Amino acid sequence: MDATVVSYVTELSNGEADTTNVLPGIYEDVLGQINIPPILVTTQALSPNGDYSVSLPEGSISGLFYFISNTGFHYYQQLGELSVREADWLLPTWRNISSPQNGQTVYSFVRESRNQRDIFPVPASSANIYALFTYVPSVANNLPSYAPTDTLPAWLQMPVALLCLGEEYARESNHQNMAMSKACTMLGQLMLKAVLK
Amino acid sequence: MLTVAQQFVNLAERLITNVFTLTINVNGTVYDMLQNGPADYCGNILSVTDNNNNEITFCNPGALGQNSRSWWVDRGTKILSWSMVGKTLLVVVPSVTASTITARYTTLTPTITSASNMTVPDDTTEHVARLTELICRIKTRQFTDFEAKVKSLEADMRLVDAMSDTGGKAD
Repeated sequence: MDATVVSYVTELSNGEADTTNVLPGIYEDVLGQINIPPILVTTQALSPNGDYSVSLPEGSISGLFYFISNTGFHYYQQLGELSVREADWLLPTWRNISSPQNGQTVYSFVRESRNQRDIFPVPASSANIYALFTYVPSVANNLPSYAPTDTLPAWLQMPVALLCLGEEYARESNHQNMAMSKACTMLGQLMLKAVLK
Repeated sequence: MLTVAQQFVNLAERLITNVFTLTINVNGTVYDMLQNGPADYCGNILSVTDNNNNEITFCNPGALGQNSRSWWVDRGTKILSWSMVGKTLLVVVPSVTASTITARYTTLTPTITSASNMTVPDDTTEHVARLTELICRIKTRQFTDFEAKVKSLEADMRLVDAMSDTGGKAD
């Protein structure tokens, strides 16, 4: 967890916020929420699962782009996206197809869960797959290999601290203060707008 | 708190910018600004030019795959467009051998140590003061008219109008 965010939270809460047990969860939650319009994005190679689906690593929020380099391709190509219904309609046996069909040259992925994608057609086991995805920097010392750092850029620290305080003061506790929560959230969102603009 | 307030006023109004040069990697088109960018990168790239100082066209990240499905590793003889994926990944397509680009970006303003050390123009120091006051009000729990003050500052900081400064190119 970013040390500057912790110090901002401690300072602005006058020491009331529980930075040891509660803040890590709130911090992850806040970063997950603000990263929906992508802010922190990184890239990592993914290993296909046994069923040739790929899963984004822990700490990822949402996959933005997927690329595959398969046998017969000399370059990485971006995967198109199909819903399960579209894939079923296109080819009911799509899960068993192992090579491009009828002149198809573009691989696609099918979104079955938030972090898992099925590649269609099934790629060769030697295929290399990369993803660009939004992520939450680690809250503990188990820093994922893809995260450039567990610290936040300076331009995110204060908005994140304020949004964390907004949640901290909204939860039931002996220092619950809805006016404080509302003010922190409002100011955090204003500063976040400056980042996103 | 003054330092933080100045950083965000600068970011909101795109007041102080800088340039950095990046050597094009022939094996890929994506650059992590947190690793490859300047130390004072502040989340916003405004424009990109090639090594002949020609403007490179901005491209919405969603449109990258419409031009070429292999945009991640495309090579060519001339850089055609740039894009941002989130606020951390700069995309320059296609990659060109032995080339550089120059990018203009909003800077992270330095730490304020005295009144003479403020770097934003004088006409915006009032915004810095108002934003600092709001942060201090959080610490001192003074919430009278807080919402009105936030909305007033938001309107005055031109968050709504900043896009027109660049014709929407960098937004």
